[in-house]
Formats: sequence, structure tokens, C-alpha cells
Amino acid sequence: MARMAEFIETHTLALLVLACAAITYFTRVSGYWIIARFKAIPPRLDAALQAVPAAVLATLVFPPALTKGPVEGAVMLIAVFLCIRFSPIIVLIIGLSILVVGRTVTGL
Amino acid sequence: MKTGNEQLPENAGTEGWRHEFLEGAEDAMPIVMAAAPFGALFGAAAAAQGLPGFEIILASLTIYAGASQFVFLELYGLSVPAWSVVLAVFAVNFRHILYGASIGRKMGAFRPLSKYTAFFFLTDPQWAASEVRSDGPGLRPAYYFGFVVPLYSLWMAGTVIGVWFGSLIKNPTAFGFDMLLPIYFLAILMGFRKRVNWLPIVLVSGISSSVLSVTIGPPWHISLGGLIGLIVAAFLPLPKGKEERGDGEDG
Repeated sequence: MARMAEFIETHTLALLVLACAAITYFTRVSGYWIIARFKAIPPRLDAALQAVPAAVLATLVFPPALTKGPVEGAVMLIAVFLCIRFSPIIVLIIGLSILVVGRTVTGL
Repeated sequence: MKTGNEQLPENAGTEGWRHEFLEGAEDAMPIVMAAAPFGALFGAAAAAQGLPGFEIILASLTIYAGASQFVFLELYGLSVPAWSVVLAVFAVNFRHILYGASIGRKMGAFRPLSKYTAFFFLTDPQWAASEVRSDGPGLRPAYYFGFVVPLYSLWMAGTVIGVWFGSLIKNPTAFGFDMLLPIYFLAILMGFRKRVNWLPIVLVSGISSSVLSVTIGPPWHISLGGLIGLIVAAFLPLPKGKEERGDGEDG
């Protein structure tokens, strides 16, 4: 026991990193485990799972677009229209260019 | 379960695997542009906080989740109890449970070992690109790991560079890299716009997560905002006579 305590003492940070890695892997795999338990997916659960991309991506997009600042908000709005015509990489290049120019010009 | 190779056309063989792998790598390119600078930012920030190089690189190597690593760094700096650091990382990663539930259903072409390896690499852009792929030609390991290899390599390279040259990296937001991921996710989100009930779900999740981000604050606004959207999705009526995946040509 004493030796184990000493090991934890000297490797605290590395062990903490590994604990964080374990919990991260757990969150990545556990959703699949839960779904794999179902023999047949009920229709409402299926509708919810089909909506995961729209629902979660919206939470990654709206808060920065609405709360980061006017330049960021404007760029995100322009990007919505760019997405109708162009592929993600083109949208990124145009969007980031407008952002950098907009920040420089407005000083925001 | 079938392997990825068996599901490819007969004559595809190694050539088909290679082709899909390169397609994955190509789709990862826009994200790789951000992976290296953010890896470097993490390495530099951790080194500046006095963490030893070994543990910093171990973190990028084993956690491999940008947001959680920064949360880990911030809380470690506050010298709070270890369990609360782990709990915070869990909170930041909670959304991954939704990713696994959604994408896990589309991994029929994966053997158990490659499936459980794949989950280790399930970052936000990895998941988003995999969803897009599964709506199109189908998700197979070659594509998935083709996306993983450049992303993980550049994330690691960035971390190492950050540890070494930490003081040189002053302001990664100068080139707008802080908005790269939001714009990328917007592009992916728009790609799903033909799915059933897309707009109401997007508005509900987007607005509720924005409100939550300024009230309760990060990281729970993502998971809670997403869950609100999913609950709405479960109870919205599906259009009559239409398939659930409304990503047909007519849309």
C-alpha cells in the first residue's frame, strides 16, 4: 500500500491525464453501447437519433455566431449563403478571409 | 458482421481501400489546417503553465479532444481535487455520447476491433464527416481512418511544436483560426438541410444552446441544447408518406 501511495504521489499528473483519457473514451463509446442494447429502435428514438447531427451541430454553430461579436456574426451569416453554392473548404477559405479583413478594418 | 473490404465491389480490393482512405484524408484537409495550430496552442499553454513535456504529449496522445484538454489544463492550474478535473472533462465530452449513439448505428462495415479503435478517434469533425459519409456512399473503415491519420498526426505534431517553441506562438486567432471550426460545422450543418424537420430542430437547438451559453455557461449548453433539439425531433410529426431520411433529390 505504501508503495502504491508513493507511485500515485510521484505520477499524479500522468495518472490524472490517463483518467481524463479514460473518461473521454468512455463517453465516445457509451452512446453506441446504449443503442446496441435495443433489438429494435422505437420510432421516436429513431427520429431523435436521425436528428443528432442537426441538433448538436446547431449548438456548435449558433452560440459563436450570436455571441462572439458583429464581425463573427456577419461572417457566419454570409457563410450560410456560401454553403448553398460551395463545398466546405471553399466556404472556409472565403469565410476566414472575410473574417480577417473584417477584423482588421473594423478593429473589433 | 461484414468487413469493409467485403462490401466494396469485387474488383476493388486494395485499390478500393486506398481510394476510400485518400477520400477520407482529402475531406480532413480543411480541419487539419486548424488541428496543428490548436495542438500547438495547447502545447504552448501547457508548457507555459509549467507542465512537463511528457505529460503534455501524453494528454494529446491519449485524450485527443481539444476542448477537454483545455478544460483539463485550466482546472489543473487551479489545483482543484482530481475528481473534479475528471468530472469537468466528462461534462465537456458529454455530447460524444450522442455522437456514438448516432454513428455507432452506421458502423456495420466495421469489425469489433476497428470499431472500438474508431471510437477512440471520434472527435467533433471526425463525427460530422462520418455522418455525411454515411448519408452518401456509406461509412467504411478505410474512409474513417483516412480522415483520422492526418488529423491525429497534425494534432500531435502541433502539440510537440507547441511544447518546444511555446513562446513563439503568440496569437493563433490572428488568422481567424478561432472561427474555423464554427464555420466548418456550419457548412456540415447546411449539408443536412434536406433531412426531415431540419429547420425547426436547428432553430430550437441553436437558440436554446445560445441562451444556455450565456446563462449557465459552457460546457453544458452543447449537451443540453442538443438534447432539447432531440426531444423536439422525437415529438415532431414526420411528413406523411415520406421516408425518415428526407435527403432525397426533390427536397
